[in-house]
Amino acid sequence: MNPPKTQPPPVRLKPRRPRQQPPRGCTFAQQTMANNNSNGRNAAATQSSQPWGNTLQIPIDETKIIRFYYQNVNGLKLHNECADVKISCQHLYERQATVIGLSETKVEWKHHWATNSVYRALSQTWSHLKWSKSTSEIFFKKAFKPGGTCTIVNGPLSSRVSNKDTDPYGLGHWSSLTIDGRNKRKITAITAYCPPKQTINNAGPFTSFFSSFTNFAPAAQRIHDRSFSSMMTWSNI
Amino acid sequence: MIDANESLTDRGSKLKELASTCNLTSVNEHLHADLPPPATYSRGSSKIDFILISENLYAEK
Repeated sequence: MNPPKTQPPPVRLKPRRPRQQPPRGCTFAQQTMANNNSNGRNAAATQSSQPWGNTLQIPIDETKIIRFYYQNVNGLKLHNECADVKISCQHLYERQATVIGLSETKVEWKHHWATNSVYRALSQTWSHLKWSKSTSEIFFKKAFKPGGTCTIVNGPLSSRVSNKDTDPYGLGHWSSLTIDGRNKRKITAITAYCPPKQTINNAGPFTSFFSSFTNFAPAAQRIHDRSFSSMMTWSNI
Repeated sequence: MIDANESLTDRGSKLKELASTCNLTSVNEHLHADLPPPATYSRGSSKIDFILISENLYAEK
């Protein structure tokens, strides 16, 4: 028989993994977002990213140049009060990105706590911003949801945003913001996500394709039934 | 700005059709026509993410 335990078992501390910080400094030429993959699965791929095209110029005269920044973020990480989002915002702020498009946000924007959490993280970096986000109509209980997009305009230009829009078919494939420019010109920034081509048989239940299919199938069925019934009516005549 | 999950050079590319219909061109290809497009997909070699803009938005040279 084991003696009664008088002391808690010793705590074994695991060595902490070093956190990856976004690169800093104006000489930085990398044109990809900082690696914020906590699982490290895509870390090798991200680390091997090389700058392409022109060297990123910093600083820029923001009264004459608008910097657009687009990134397939492969999911915004909401844990730890959106710490990863805050780091990415800092990265974008340093690079003077004004119009930002994020695809595959993988956030169920219908959860207000998730939306508020991301908005708080964004507003810590930019005091003025407008954003538009998209997600499919199907409700996910968890905050993780494949697909989705987010379009952000920050800084003084945010007061020029006259319209925001999102996918009217409820698939959550795109979101947009329209900016009123000089001489009554309008610029619409659209961030879109198109799920990869596959069939419903090989699409997993938590893929954006499956979500879109499930959302779209009843509407397609109704259209099909209507056309079929009208065809029947026509043939009966 | 789009994650199209298909290349502009694919046969029967819907994105190419969209770009043609809406008169949009890829910024990277326009500015760096001499460079091969970078892979934007960790498990592939083709470019499937694009920033497409209207022709009249390019800065005058």
